[in-house]
Amino acid sequence: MSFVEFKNIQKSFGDQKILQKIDLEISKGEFLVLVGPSGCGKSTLLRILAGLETPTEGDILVNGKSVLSKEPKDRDLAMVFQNYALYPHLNVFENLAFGLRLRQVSESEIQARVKETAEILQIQNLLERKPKALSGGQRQRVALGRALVRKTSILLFDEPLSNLDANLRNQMRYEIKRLHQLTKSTIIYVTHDQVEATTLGDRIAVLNKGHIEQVDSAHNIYEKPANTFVASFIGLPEMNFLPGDLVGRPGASVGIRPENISISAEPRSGALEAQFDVCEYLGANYLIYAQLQGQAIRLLSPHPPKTATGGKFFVSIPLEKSIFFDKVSGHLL
Amino acid sequence: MRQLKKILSLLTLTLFSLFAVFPIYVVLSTSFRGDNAFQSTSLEFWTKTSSISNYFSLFTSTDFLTWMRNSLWVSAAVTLIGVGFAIGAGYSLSRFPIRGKKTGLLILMTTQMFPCTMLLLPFYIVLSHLQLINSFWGLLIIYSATSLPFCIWQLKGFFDTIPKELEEAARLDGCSHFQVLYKVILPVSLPALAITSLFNFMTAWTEYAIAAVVLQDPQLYTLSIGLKTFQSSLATQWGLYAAAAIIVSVPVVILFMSLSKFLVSGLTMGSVKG
Amino acid sequence: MRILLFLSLLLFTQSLMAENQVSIQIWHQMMYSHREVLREVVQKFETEHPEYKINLVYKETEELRSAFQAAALGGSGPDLIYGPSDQVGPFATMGIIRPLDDLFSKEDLDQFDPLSLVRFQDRLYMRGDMVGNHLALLYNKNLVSKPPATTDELISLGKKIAQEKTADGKPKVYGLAWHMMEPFFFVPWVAGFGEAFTNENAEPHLDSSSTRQAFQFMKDLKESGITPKECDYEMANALFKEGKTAMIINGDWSWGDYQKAGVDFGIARIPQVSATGKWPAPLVATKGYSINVHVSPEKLPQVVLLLRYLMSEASQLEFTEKVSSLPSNLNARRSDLVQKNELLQASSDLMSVGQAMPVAPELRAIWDALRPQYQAVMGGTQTAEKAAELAQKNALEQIHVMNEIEKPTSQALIVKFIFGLLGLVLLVLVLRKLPLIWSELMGPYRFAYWIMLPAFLSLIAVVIYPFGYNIALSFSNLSLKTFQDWQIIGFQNYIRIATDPVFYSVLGKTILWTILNLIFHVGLGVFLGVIIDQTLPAKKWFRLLLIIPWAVPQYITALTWRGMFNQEYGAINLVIQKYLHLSPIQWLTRPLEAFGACLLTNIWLGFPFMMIVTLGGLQSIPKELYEAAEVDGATAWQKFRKITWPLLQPVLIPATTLGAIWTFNNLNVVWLVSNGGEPSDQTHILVSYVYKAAFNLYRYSQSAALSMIIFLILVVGSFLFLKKNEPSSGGPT
Repeated sequence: MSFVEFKNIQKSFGDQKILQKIDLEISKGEFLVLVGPSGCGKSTLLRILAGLETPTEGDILVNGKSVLSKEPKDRDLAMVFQNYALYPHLNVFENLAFGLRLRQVSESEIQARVKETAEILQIQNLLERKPKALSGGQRQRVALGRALVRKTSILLFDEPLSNLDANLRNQMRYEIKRLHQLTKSTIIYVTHDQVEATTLGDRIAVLNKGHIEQVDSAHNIYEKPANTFVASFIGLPEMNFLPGDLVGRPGASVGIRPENISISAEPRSGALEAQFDVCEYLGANYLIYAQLQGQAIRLLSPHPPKTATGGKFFVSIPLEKSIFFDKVSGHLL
Repeated sequence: MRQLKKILSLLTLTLFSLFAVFPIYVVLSTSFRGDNAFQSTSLEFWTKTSSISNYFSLFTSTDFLTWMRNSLWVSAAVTLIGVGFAIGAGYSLSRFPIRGKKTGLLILMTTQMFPCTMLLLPFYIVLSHLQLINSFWGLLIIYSATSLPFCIWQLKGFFDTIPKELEEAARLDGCSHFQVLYKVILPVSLPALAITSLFNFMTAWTEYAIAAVVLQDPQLYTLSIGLKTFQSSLATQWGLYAAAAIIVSVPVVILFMSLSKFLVSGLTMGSVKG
Repeated sequence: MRILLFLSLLLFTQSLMAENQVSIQIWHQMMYSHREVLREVVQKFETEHPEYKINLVYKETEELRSAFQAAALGGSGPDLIYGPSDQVGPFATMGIIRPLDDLFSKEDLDQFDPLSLVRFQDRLYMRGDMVGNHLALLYNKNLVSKPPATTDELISLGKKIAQEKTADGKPKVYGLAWHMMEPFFFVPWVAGFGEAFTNENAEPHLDSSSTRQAFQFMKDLKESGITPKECDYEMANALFKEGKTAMIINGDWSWGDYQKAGVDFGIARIPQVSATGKWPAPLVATKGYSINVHVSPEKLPQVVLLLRYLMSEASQLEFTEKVSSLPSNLNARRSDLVQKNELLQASSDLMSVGQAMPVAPELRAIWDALRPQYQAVMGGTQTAEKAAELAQKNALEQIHVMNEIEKPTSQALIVKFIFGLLGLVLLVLVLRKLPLIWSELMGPYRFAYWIMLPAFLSLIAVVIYPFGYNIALSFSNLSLKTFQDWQIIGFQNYIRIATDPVFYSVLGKTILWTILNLIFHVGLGVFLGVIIDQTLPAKKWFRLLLIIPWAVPQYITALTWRGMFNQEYGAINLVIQKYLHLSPIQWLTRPLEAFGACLLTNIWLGFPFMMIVTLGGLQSIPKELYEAAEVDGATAWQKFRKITWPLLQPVLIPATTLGAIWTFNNLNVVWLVSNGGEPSDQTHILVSYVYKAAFNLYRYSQSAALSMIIFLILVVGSFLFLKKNEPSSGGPT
């Protein structure tokens, strides 16, 4: 049974359509990631659920009941913002306690809950500080704490990690995952980063230009992208698209992930000749840029081709690992 | 080279500081002299005839304390009302899709361009219709309203710089619109509020022309009109005047100085980021 | 919290109104010493009549006039108004004081000096309590044994006294001092050269040989070296009190003060003009009380009771005793206090050569025409011939304008039609928007609309409504004669302004004034801001010191600067002489210098604002930019030119716009420093010109039109300025 349900949500600002006909169901305790390029409307969708925007059309049900007429504060949800939005005039303790005080929670309860949350997030020693005196990572933890402390059934994350550096981001990603397992809340998480999307989400909804392109588990999205957009958006380095003629499927577009292409110095059966361009060392393997019959391709290989720029080598494209799309519509065949 | 530059700039600043305080020095030194000492060829601060008797008689033989009390009253009330109103309008204009917002803001700015002295006669007529002549109310209304446009612009500019997410977070945390304003926006806007209050206070504390028309009962006089009574067309009590001027200026100067840090950030915040 | 305040204020005003007494208000312009006596007299009255409460309100003469006009127009004001007899003309013409003929019997009035009963157009409007106000030559008995009888004697005596010089070349003691800015001190001399300055019908008679000679004589007298080089009333007064001038020409009102100050002085006629053998004729006037036309019939007897008390022998003698005034009550005149008073006896002698002060409103036009010419002659910028000619011409013109009641023309219809149409359109718009407004007030953003409402309403009441009223006035004929019943007449006011060359010259000056001020404000502000920003250790202290000009109330500093600009005693010239060894500058008597004085004052007042704005702007400039420039080898000037200056634009442009508006409309500085446009109305900028036209010359409708023009100029100007700078600014557009 779905816990949160978006029904035919549409939103436009003036003539500009931000969201068109969004239908989406999320079950209780699920971790759903909304991912897509910037401007695709993912944040707007989140904010509509939070009550910070009103949809032009459509309805949102939580637990079977429409919440559109409710004030944000009455929707039983909390949100973590990209820029943290900590109250600069309050110290960390008061930042966490703010929502509880407004809800007339008793002082002892507040003490207990703030303490508990602070322990989970390991920010006990920061409680007396003002946000100004915190580092980026610490602020992020406090923002997380402020959302957690209210123990709402829904948690919303709006690109919470995009202001952090790479190391911190990895660590926080891990913590968010851990928190989800701890609290069992329903989480809706907006990001433009596909790594966050695939690592965090139980399910991923890929948005583009106000549409949902595909909703599925990370694995399914990776293996069976619904269309060329999803295929190229998810997966790093990006999937290669080759004309179907190359592999004897005219009229189709062939998608092949870089790690599935193998290389050799000598021609093999079914192998195609390619010109080497440049190569990047990634540690586990090499990312090779090359030209295949006038088309740029990327491929991953445990060793670099033994040739100089412009030199020849051979690539094999295994058909069983290729995905075929309609050349015109871009849909999966 | 670097040292020379530093000395040069210190020198320049000292020179200009002297320029800035010199008139104050003159008033201060006059306040210790007799009535006619404004006309004197000495530049000395303390002369043989100097004394603090002007200050003494200011408090004992004039209504100075009454004026002071009235001015404090009026200024405090104007500050509260004016800033209160400006907060409401500034916040709405900064945050909500108010109808006719752009036009409204333009009109607000253009009100600054009308020579205020010409409004005296209409003011008087409005106030006498409202039976507010000779009462602090009339003064309060006019002062707060005339300083409103500037205050609204000022506060709107500052509110614009506060991230929207802060309010959204507060609303999710459980604030009503009013609580957002009261518990989050206002505490965060303290520098701008301080500056706006200061300007309101200053206007009310120093305004003369309107007060002279509205207040007719000497018991209601504010400092600026009171001071003016020392100064008659053919015989000014310069000593008393100077002493009173010093006492009137001290609070504003202190306020100004203590808020000068905010002044730097508060005045420009809006325009830098707005 | 705010409700509490509201309540307490309400209670406060209530308690003031709830007094169960007869409350009578008097507005007066008595000088300090006279004020004290009046207070005593009134207190006595209150003890005799405990149910009475008398409020005394002091206002400076000019303000008394304008405030009373405004108050009476609004249907209120004091019950009694006390002032010089020449205010009777204007007030009576406006119909804001009532005739007194029916209140006092002939027997009553016979007991008073006829000079004290001020009539205008054959009706009694003012009852004077003292007669005099006339000028005389006062001499310090320690310095002058026998007063000069003729002008030749005056000059030779003066030269003898002024012989002894101080180290800086000034006379130790001057021969003579008088108020060199006010024509009241000049007109007695015109009579000394033969003719009166008005004819029998109180019309100006200024382009006469007497006026020319008198002008020339004044100028020569000033240049004979026996007087200070620049002298206003304050200074003459101070010099005489301190014994630094042997003689002074001053009025009877000052005598009490000099006695109190312990000056041993004698009184004599202003010396006979040697060239003609005639005595200069000081103006003899009265000061007294008039009754506001709005005093209700019930209250009238109570007011009359008070007035009778003030006119009584006892009250008048009180003044005579304390401030040596000559009572108007003939019984009082016969008392020993008057008979044995040397001063008052001298006074009678002086009055015998005096001339009565005309009370017609036209007199004001004569003063206003004479004043600039007198100042120009004394300042050396005008010849006596030209001055006399211009004074006559201007006086006639001003009288013409004052007395002209402009009739509505066909344009009035057009104006009314446009007003009507606009009103209708507005009404329709509002009515049509009403449901919308209502729905917004109830809609999703109701919170925003409601909290905006108080500001919105108060702005409409206090700013928008008066503004509309002013627009209506600008098309009307409101002036002295139409004070109570003005009407819309058409575009005449605008046309007159547009075709008046004076308007363009004042506009030019205003623009120059604004530009010069802004150059200095921004230049100094940015310069000091940048320097302060670099001197870290003392940064805070300099900022505190340099902010002072902004913090001190303007009316205080403006007057202080005026004092500092005095040619001989002003601190500025003292510094110039002592430390720079230059010759003193005539700051306040020459147009260019006076303009410079106003400019200097306003620069002083305005630079801190720009400095603070600069400091704020500097905070937002990233330090990396300077480091990058340093690496690129930029000089300090290049860094300023290429980084600081352009990046300051976003803050400086809005601030400059605001500064330009403030400067353009800065009445305080120009009005107070140049004392209302002195010398010769040469230092006016548009606002002071408007102010003067409205409140000194009764041309309300014309100044309303002028203020509309100022408004339009500023609106257009600032929007052009902002538009031009828009791409680089985030300013308020």
